Amino acid sequence: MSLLSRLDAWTIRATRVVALFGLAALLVIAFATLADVGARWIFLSPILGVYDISTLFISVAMAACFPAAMAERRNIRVEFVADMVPLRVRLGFDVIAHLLLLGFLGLLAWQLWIYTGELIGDGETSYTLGVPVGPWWIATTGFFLVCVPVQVLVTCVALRDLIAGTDSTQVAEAL
Amino acid sequence: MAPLALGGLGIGIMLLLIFIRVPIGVAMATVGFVGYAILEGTGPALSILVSESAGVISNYEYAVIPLFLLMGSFATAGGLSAEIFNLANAFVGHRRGGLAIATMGGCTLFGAICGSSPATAATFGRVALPQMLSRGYAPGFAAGCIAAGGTLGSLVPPSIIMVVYAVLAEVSILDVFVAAVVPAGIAVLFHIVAIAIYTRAVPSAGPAGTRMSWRERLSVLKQCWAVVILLVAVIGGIYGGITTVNEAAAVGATFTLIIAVARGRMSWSDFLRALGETAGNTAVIYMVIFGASIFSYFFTISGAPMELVGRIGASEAPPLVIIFALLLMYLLLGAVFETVSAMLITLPFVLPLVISLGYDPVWWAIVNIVVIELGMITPPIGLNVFVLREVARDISLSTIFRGVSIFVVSDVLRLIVITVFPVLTLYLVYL
Repeated sequence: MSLLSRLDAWTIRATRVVALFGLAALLVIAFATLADVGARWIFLSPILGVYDISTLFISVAMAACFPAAMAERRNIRVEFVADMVPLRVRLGFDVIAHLLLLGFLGLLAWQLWIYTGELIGDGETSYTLGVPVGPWWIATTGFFLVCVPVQVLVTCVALRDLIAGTDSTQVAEAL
Repeated sequence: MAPLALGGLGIGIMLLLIFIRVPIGVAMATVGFVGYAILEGTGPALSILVSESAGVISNYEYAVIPLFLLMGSFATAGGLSAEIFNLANAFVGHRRGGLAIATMGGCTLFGAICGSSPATAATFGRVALPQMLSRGYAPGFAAGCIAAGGTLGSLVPPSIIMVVYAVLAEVSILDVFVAAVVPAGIAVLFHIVAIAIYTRAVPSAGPAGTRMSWRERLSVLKQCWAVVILLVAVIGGIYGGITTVNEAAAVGATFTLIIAVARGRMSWSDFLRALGETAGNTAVIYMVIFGASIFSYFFTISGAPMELVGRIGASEAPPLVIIFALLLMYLLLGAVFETVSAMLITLPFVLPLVISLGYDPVWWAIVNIVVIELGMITPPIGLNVFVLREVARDISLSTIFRGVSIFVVSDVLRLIVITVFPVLTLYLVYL
């Protein structure tokens, strides 16, 4: 297995761990919400700040899912046209697709970086508890920044496949 | 450039990118961003890119998507689907076509827990298909029944596609859920009638089983306590005004996890697999929503929706004719796109048109979902049929498509009914 393939396989495993932490955080939110609903219904007294903290958790938890999705090449796309063209043309299409996705992620991460800086600069806090939102957006932006090198790697693999004329996307499927 | 030509060019480039395997969300975002930058400048385009994406990712309403996805994964791992099927089977399994009716009933209840059409089809393919085949059901009819029943996963609230529509169309999620109640009931009724007619014409396709005594039925009902609690907590919570949709999703996800763990049916690896699947599916759905949000900005500012609405209004074609033309367009799109994509790609120009014709966007949510769900069981894509083919590899695709054809007829009739009589959809919403 080449260095690129080994790196690809390692990235998939590492980003999956990150995604699991994200979803685990979502489960924590779910349990907190259950407790909040229970407290509101039984004791007529909601737990202060659950909604507040949940909204902060959400963006971090959701952003944590992205690096794994990029590494695993998970996407909704139309396959039937590409299935009708020769393999090398299809691999060329894949390179274009990955470059566009890389461009999108790069722009998004860059703009989120600026946005987070503004939030920190303005000292924005959550509505109820007054928790600073900056650190949460640093984490969110961090996950999108991680997506960029992951997508660079995915694009390199696609480029290598195009040059070699072979399709190695089954690496992601096999893991 | 004329607004309509500009909008059309945007759609054309987006379709071109989609056809060369560019992910649908990325294709929409690229065209939306570049189009907006050309019209308004790069600065405003970058601003839209970050504000829309940050808005979507931090939107608490969208969190219902991963929560409902988790609930479906945990419910499947916890064996709730088998209990639901056994419950329905206990009451109607003794009738001709009874297992098929039980499957429809099971899909309806499981759809309320799962919220996804292919997931419902896959789950019942594993739970109901072996039992139907062992009782001598015709393979095509049995598989077709499950593929069609699976579409109820999206129509029976709560449903993920409804959440996506509601947030993007800026209508209440709860209103869309309430609006779906009567159409979902009609769907079940029409499917049961289709089963009854078919098994009367071809009795060997769905032979009757043995009748259970009431004591046995009550015993099955008792075993289903977890399902009953879950449905009461989720659906009762939403419609009873006790919980918001988000809270109901959180309650459902935690309940199903607790049930699955308490029963010893969820191993650590099952748990990690459920989380991993949900993470991947969540990111994919969010990516499409990012793209759709950015594309909508470009399309709106291009002036194409207003121009389209103006031109169609000037044509003086009856609104119902235009609606049926849209439905035809969706049937054709269903041959190329999967459901969520078909809805999101078309929403920026279809929704303003539907509203300008005097129709309610909540009603359109249901009609739109019904028509694109039809694409889940019709060739060439027919995602649910392919899902069934994966579950039952010894049944050919053509056999399943033939088996599902009676349900396609039933679905088309239902589509006509809810299109012609919007009151069926909106009555409960404005009660």
